Amino acid sequence: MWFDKVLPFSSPTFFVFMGIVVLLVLISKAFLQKIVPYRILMGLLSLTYIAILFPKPFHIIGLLVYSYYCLLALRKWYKSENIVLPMVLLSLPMLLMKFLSNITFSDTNWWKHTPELFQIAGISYLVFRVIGLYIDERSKPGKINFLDFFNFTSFVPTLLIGPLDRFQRFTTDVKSGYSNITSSLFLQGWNNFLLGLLYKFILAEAIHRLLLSQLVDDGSILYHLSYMYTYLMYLFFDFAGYSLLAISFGNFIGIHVPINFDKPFAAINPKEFWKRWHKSLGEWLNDYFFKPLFKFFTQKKYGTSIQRQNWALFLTFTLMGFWNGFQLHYIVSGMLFGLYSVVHNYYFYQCKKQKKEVFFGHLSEKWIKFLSIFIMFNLVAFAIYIFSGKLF
Amino acid sequence: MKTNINWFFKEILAFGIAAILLAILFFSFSFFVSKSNLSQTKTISGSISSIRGTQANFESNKNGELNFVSSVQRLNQITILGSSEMNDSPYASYHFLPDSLGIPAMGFGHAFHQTFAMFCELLACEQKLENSKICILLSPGWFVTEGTNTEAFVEFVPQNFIQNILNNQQTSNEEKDAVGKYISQHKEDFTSLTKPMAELSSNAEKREQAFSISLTIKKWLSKGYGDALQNTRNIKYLTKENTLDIKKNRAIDSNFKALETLAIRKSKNNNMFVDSNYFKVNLLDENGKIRPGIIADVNMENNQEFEDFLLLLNLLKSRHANACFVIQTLNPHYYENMEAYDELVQNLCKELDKAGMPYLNMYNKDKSQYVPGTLNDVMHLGDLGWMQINRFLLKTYGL
Amino acid sequence: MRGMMKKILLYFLLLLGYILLYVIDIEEIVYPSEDTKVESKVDFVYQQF
Repeated sequence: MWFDKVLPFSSPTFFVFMGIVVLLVLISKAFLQKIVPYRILMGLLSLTYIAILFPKPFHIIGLLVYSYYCLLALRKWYKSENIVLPMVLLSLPMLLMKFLSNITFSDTNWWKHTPELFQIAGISYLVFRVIGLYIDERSKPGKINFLDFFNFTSFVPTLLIGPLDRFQRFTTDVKSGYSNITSSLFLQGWNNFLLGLLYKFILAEAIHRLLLSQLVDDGSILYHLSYMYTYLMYLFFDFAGYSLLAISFGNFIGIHVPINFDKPFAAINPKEFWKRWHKSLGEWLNDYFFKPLFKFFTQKKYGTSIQRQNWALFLTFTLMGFWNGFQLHYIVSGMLFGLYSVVHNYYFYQCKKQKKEVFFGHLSEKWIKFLSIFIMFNLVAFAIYIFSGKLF
Repeated sequence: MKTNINWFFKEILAFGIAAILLAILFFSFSFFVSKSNLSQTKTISGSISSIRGTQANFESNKNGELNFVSSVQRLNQITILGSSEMNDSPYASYHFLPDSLGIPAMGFGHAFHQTFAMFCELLACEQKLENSKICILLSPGWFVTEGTNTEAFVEFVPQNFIQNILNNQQTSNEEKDAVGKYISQHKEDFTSLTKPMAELSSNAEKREQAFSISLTIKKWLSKGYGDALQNTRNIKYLTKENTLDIKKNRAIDSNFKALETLAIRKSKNNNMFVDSNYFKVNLLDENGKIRPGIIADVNMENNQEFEDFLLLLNLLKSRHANACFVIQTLNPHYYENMEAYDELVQNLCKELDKAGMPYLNMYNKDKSQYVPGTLNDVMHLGDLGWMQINRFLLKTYGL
Repeated sequence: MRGMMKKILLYFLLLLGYILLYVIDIEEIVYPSEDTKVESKVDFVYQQF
């Protein structure tokens, strides 16, 4: 193609493109409101990005078409309450991608190029959005319009790694269209934009260049500890910065992209952590993995209520690990997060049952909070360290 | 509307105050840095630096770099840059001039040492070029290549040279960017880029754009911080003066006839005045037939080597080097289509004339004019050829 | 006023970070590296001109 391919927020070209998008939307709001409906404009802009800047445009369009028709077919013919089959069908391309990327093909193998077919940037998040859309809308009648589907799944700022939005929320924003674009939302966007730039391109970059990449691996504990905390800081600023930038561009064009990070290191327990760190994923996992699993266990009357909760929690986070990739470090880190939640859930249950603080005893509330934050921070640092793949 | 304007002014104000605070910070910090006397210079010294002989390249030998820089710096020494003709003949200028006439001279290079590498070497010590006696031996064959090969670049342009090119404040951006562009175009051919190489190439890329904010800010900052902002150190060569006496006996013409006779004697198995052994090994095919002597056409349009030659010529002229050129010939008894180089040689002469640069044009496609011994074989200088160059050098430099 | 101070700090950090990271490559000055060795992947091809 005649343009260099750029993933969202990865190069100045993308910012120039988004600048033009914002400008076009603002111009349309001022002069073309009646001629160009907002949702059509959004569709056109996303399509333009995919066509000229996104790597593998045909692959992602293929994926979108597959997901859309799969969704329609499920809505029409699949009447069961069980969501396992729809989930598997909708995530099939992603599962194939993760599975195939772990296989080594010999050079003579005729299907050695198959993995490339499914290696599409942002496929995991796209699949998550589609699954969310299916589950949320399955009991509602009526047709899901392709344009609404396309706008929701291919919204450029959140295309690659979220934040994960909900179909109803997003579509309501799109329906309000131009009237959503207000100066107060724009100013909010500007603040998010500046903070996003600071996080991603200054702080994360500085941590990476000045600390992380300067650490010398001498195999010592000190090295691994330094790496663990530095990597956590780097990941936080990089990811939170990215999310803020995505939110800001959403704000500029009238979309209230949900927030993703909210002082995660002030969390006192795993439950709170997932409301603060990658919040949109935390909510997604709660709604589409945890709740159905818990419901399923309850229907089948497995164990006690607390056992059902714990199993559902553990499986939810293990699935999250698999979703990150079929590599051991992702899976183990997911299981570790699951374990944290299970332990906390059990501890919480015991406190409630015994009507006392079973771990911290008679410590003052202030101390309990401080210690909880300290413990949580270190547990997270360890799980993220496993996630980084540095150890295995 | 009013709130929007208020907001806009507030942002501008905040930005302005931040920028002013930052400027103050950098300004006050520059005092501290300039007083702290940060040393950014690496000194290269050696016990000996030659006044005769050859140096094949500058790879893994700092003495080689020192020899080169010393040679360029010494105004009484002739620095000869060439390629595959740099043999061990006692008549080669870097042997004959010092050994027989007491004139210091040193040769640098081996095959593939072409004009762009020479340009970089000389650019690295550009402050020493003024009045320096430099002789470039041009081979027409270079001009059918795609310019200096990366292997040659690595051998002849060591990292110290690159650092000097990058750091030298006097070197023009155009010249720095010429090196940067070369690196950037050949990025894939290097195993990796060192920091100064990467910086030269990225600066060149940035300057290709009409305006680069980061380069403008850096230029402004470097006014206050100077060397402290450099990523790489300046390289300083501790050179020594030489003390060779110049002998006054310059009667060299008597050698010419004897060398011609010797060359004819060395060519026993052919009538092309090619050294017998070379003829047997290189010019005969497996059936004992003479391989055809055809030279490739030179395409003068977008000729990389010619552009590099112009860079080199411009460098020598603008720094007032006491430079001269030799256009070498091929053997007209062997090559059938020497007119393929006509246009090239004409262009070379034209540019040299235009620059007012003294040169010796040895290029000769007329068999009857070819003096045996000019070349040892079909393209490499022979003893007599070297003596012609010696005579040219003595005349050019009034020695 | 507090909002304004925050904004100034934000712009200050953005500008400072931009200059240190993208203009003068601060890590090259903080951690001056020894010269690395460069090699050419392309070899000389000897030929008769």
